[in-house]
Amino acid sequence: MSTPLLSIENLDVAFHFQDGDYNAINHVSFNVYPNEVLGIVGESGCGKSLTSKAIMGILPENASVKQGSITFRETNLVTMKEKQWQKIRGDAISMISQEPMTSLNPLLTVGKQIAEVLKQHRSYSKKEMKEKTIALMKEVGLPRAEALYKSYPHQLSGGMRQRIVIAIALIASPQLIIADEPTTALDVTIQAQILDLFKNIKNTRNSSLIFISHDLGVIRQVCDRVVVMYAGRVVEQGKVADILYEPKHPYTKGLIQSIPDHTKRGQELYTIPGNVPGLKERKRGCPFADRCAHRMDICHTHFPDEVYVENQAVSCHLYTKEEVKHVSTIH
Amino acid sequence: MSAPFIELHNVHKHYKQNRRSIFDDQPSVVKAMNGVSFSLYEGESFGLVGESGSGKSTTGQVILQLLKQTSGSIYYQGTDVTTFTKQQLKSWRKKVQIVFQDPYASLNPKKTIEWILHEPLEIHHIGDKASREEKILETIHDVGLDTSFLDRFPHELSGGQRQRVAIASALVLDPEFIVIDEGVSALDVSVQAQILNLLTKLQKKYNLTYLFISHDLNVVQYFCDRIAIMYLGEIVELGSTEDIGTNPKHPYAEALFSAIPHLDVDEERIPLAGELPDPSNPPTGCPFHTRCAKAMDSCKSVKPVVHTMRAGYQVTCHLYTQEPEHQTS
Repeated sequence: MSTPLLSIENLDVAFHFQDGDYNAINHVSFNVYPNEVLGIVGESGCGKSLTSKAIMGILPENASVKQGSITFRETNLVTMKEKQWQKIRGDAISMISQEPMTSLNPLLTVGKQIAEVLKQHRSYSKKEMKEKTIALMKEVGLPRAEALYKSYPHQLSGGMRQRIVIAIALIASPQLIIADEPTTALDVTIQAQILDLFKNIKNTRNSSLIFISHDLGVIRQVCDRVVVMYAGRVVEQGKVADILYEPKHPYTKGLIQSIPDHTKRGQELYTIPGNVPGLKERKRGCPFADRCAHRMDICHTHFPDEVYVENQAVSCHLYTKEEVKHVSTIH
Repeated sequence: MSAPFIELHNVHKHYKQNRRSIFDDQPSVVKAMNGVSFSLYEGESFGLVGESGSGKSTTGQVILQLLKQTSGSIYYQGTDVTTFTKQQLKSWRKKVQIVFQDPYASLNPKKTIEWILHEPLEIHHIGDKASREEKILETIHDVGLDTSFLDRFPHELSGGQRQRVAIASALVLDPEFIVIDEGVSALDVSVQAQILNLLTKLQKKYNLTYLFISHDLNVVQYFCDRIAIMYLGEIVELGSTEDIGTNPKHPYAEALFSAIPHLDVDEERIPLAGELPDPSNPPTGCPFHTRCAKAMDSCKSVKPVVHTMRAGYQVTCHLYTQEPEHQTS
């Protein structure tokens, strides 16, 4: 494969509490290659959003990177100063957040909010900025872009607001776009329209995308590869089809099996026993061990190394033994 | 089929909005329910689906009389609840409960779980101290929690545990009917599966009837026996989950079901242009004609009537009323 655009290596992010530091992200490593869509899946509290905030350099005040590196175009972002961050944010890396209601400024027209990015990062004339903004508004599927340029966020529907947020993220033609649950707050028909827009972005622009979602059906539609996270760890990563149809990690298998659909009507749904451990409840070893049907003694003491099983990379002791055991699916 | 458990007859719920400017002649009216009729049968799970703004939550709350309908009748086991006095409503409300989407917002943060479960019993003057305690213990076990939870506060619980408490507080009064308004939508899949299994278990144990309001079609198709699809305050299609899930008839239902992101192969998606029209100014004729790929001239002016495809399966669309041969199938 080509050189990665973004490379995260051994990243630890900790929250600081009065009684000490607690790692919310533990030894996370993955790459994003040019022109690919990488999905990150996992349940709430597994560290998906925190990872993306670490990449953007917008960690909460009581959290910081403890170790590891985030390399973007040969620069380690972790050691950068705030001034340098500001040059990158919105320009080379941009972000689309879940809530289109709260991520727009209610007091500014939407056109101004899109053009603002160009004002920060480019030296265009006012006229050029407006032209570029309106052209992009049309590209993301906003009707009557000229008229909408002067409207305020409250005048728009949820789907239109999300298109504005996407336009803000796209206007500077960034090399990396991070979309954090971009369709979760939308209705299924609007979600389908926005997902089409993302597929379009992938085809027409030379950007890479990190697409965070808890919905595996959505991930399947837009992503090339996927990273599965659990309790701050990457447990499995690989091509979307391999992960969804041939999952190897017991957590990934459980997650896929617990999704309801019409074929499972009348049957009890598979459930993973227990809950995701809280930040302060995480123990040594594999964080999934307490909920895992295949747990062994070693799972409680050591986190498994990442090994390749068939086409994907898995962190599970079931596969770290010399002879790779065949693990039947959980039923 | 047996007599309906709950029956809605041409129910309207209109919200008046304040005049937007002094130049408006009249206040605008949002018709959140515009002539809704359907029946629920005892022991079934009835799914109500549609986009935000379609009137699904309003329907749930009007059935429970948490909102007063503008016109129409609602029969509960043959009695019209819209004519109930305050006193009658209070005693009836023991039997009908609701579980909301957000267990963070629906549980009192300053009270313990025990207090939350005790309160409904006290309001309705049920039992004495000893029998109330017994009932609370039974209910907390029913929802899969143990007694150690009784002294805790809602913020000490995870999202799934909180939703179990919300279900328990509905269950403690021995209800017959529960409205589940997006009750599993905010939960992670693995927790969602646990709660869905719990709801199924409770339904079997207590012969509960559910009105299951959700925008998640995968969940509805898994959980519900019958489905009604709402669009701009009207039911456009109603039938068994098998009928609608495998072969939806109304163009809106077709588009909605084809938009579900599946894990396996992609169905061909029927694109739906635009968004839900302004509900205070709905289109004339069929409310869906502005987004419908199959719209004909008559759709713009003539409102379609409910058409029964076969017993228990109805569609409100001109495509079917004009082809009488469909009726016999």
